[in-house]
Amino acid sequence: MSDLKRFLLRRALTFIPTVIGVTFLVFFIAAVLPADPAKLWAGGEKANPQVVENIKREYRLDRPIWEQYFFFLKNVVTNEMVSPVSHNKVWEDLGRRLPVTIQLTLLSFTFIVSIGIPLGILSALKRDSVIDMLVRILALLGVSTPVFWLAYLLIFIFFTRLGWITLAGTPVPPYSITGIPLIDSIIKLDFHTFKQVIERYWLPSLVLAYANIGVIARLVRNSFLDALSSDFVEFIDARGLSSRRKYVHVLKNAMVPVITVLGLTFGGLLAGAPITETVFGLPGVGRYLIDAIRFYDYLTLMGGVLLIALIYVTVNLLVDISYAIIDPRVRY
Amino acid sequence: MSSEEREVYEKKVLDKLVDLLLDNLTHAIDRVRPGWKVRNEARVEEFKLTLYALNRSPPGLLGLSLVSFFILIALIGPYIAPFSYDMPLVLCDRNAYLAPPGTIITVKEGSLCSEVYGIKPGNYTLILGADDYGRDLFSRILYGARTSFVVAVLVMAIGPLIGITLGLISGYRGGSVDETIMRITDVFIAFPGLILAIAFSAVLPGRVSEILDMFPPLASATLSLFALKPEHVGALANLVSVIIALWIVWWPGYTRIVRGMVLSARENVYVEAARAIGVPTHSILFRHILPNILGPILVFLTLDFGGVILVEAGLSFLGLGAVPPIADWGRIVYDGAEYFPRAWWLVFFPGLATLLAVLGFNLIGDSLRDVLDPKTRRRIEFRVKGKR
Repeated sequence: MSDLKRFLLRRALTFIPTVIGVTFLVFFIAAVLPADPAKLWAGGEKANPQVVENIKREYRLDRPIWEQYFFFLKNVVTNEMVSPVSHNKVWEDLGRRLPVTIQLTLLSFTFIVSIGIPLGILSALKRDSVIDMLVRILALLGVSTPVFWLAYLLIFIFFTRLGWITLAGTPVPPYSITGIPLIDSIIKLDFHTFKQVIERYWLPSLVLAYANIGVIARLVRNSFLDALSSDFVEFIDARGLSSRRKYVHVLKNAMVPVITVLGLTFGGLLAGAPITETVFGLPGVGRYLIDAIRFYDYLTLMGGVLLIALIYVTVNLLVDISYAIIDPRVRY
Repeated sequence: MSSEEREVYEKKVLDKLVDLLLDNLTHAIDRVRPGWKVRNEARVEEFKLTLYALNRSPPGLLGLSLVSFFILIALIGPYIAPFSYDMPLVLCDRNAYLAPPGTIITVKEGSLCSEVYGIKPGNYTLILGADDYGRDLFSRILYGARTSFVVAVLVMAIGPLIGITLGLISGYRGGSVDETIMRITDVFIAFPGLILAIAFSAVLPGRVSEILDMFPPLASATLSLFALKPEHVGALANLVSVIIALWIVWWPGYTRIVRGMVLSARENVYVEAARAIGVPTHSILFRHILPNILGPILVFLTLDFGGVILVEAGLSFLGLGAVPPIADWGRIVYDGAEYFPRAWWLVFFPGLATLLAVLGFNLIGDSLRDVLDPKTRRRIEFRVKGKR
């Protein structure tokens, strides 16, 4: 157990500098790189110099860099970050849009796990068969297809031609427990809302998942084949255990590397959200970021990018910890 | 000898092409640096066998032909395009407005079009249709290939180079150098790639246009690289910002991978021997370690070439990167989506072009992985060797 403790300590210790580095990089991107944001916020070239001065003072843009950085950190922690464009608190604006992105990624993740993993096992069991080849093609097409193109193609089929989906609004139930309708409706056993959520989100989630399904299936396949050729399988065969028991053991071993990649996949889903949300008209964090950029709202950009990075880093921390608990071999 | 065996024994046309190319190349190098051919004969033979094996992989050949096709388009596309990328053909014929594929437009003698824009009078077929300005989609896709490939080449020439170098140093030096580089890498990897690219390409244009204004030769060189007209210099800043953003996004992955490979490669006896006889560090890194980990890196480079094209299209679809009137596959979809599904061709064809170009690189990468992987390599190699 001391091994595990040491691993967890080490992992936690690298987590802290990463988070500090993330805040620093975000600050650098949105506060240092833009050329004269105050003028943009005041209305561009024709802005009143007095207004520009006021904005500079309000957002501490006339102060030294390090002071600006601590001002930014303080505002992030105390929820005092105010958008210069919408004049709303950035965290509250983002918080309103977060449930949409979470539902999108959660459903997408469900698709990846429930389609990708069985497909991978199937293609490992029937190696070099038609299924195996189809999975390979799916993986190749998945990483080659522009998400927006696939999205419009499917909108053409399911919206324009078949009329099966809607592209407006997002279902919000009258109650709120976690703030995420998908989870709330499951807790409350409210199948009406649940059905609405699924109807609105299934196609965007599938589009977002598509790029990853084939990749995960290939990974599961290779990992499964690796596990199948390891020594313990020979031992199991020699002991004469049933093949069902054998495959349970193989599957357990094959899943270990898959878990790490699933953690990374989560980042890919968050990254894909802006495009998917834009095409399907979902008011999520990604869509909001893109709109903020259009209005030079760099504080919202800061908040959004920071939020996504923090979610991603935390997910990967949890993945690494669970990985170490599941597999004693990775504790270093 | 069965017929199947005889087939294996035959040298394919492509193998002969490989022989011709490599023999001439080694000969040329040998002229410049006498003795090179003898010293590197084994390495050249090995490389030939790899290419023979690639010649025997149908997906690899398909990928190779797709990629060669698109590289050709990127090179000559702007010269063979029937119209310029910004020619508003609605000025010639009102039918050009959102013209569906196959529309025939007429340019009349003495009209504004032929007088001012110098388009010869006559009938023209817009084979892929036109957008809301009546700009010919086929021409814009040809120009778009140039945009995509120039971005991809520039990104792949710098980003991985930084990443690989840092990875080599980090893995070989170890200690506090390693720790520092890896912590910095961790910070960049903490962001999902596209998000970081979005952030950088959103904030950079202001600074980039300052720099481009300061160095006019740089701006004009970039313009001719992208085959753009001088009057569109203002649209350049956003495009260059995307390239810089992708440099920043594309190095950390390589640092991590290369570091890991160096960590295991430096334990080899030949590295120890080189160190023992006093070979300088840079020489050990670049002449002893790098060539031995180059195979997997080559696969990543190929796959990422497609990846850059895909991400660049995604960014310009979000309105970042290429701005009008620059022809860019992602941007054409972004502008055309307004008229979807009525003008489906504005979404369908640019997306299809992106898909095929990226697929080409992924097919090559996938086959390269098989060819370069020692596990699958033997099978292919022995079949190839048997033909001598």
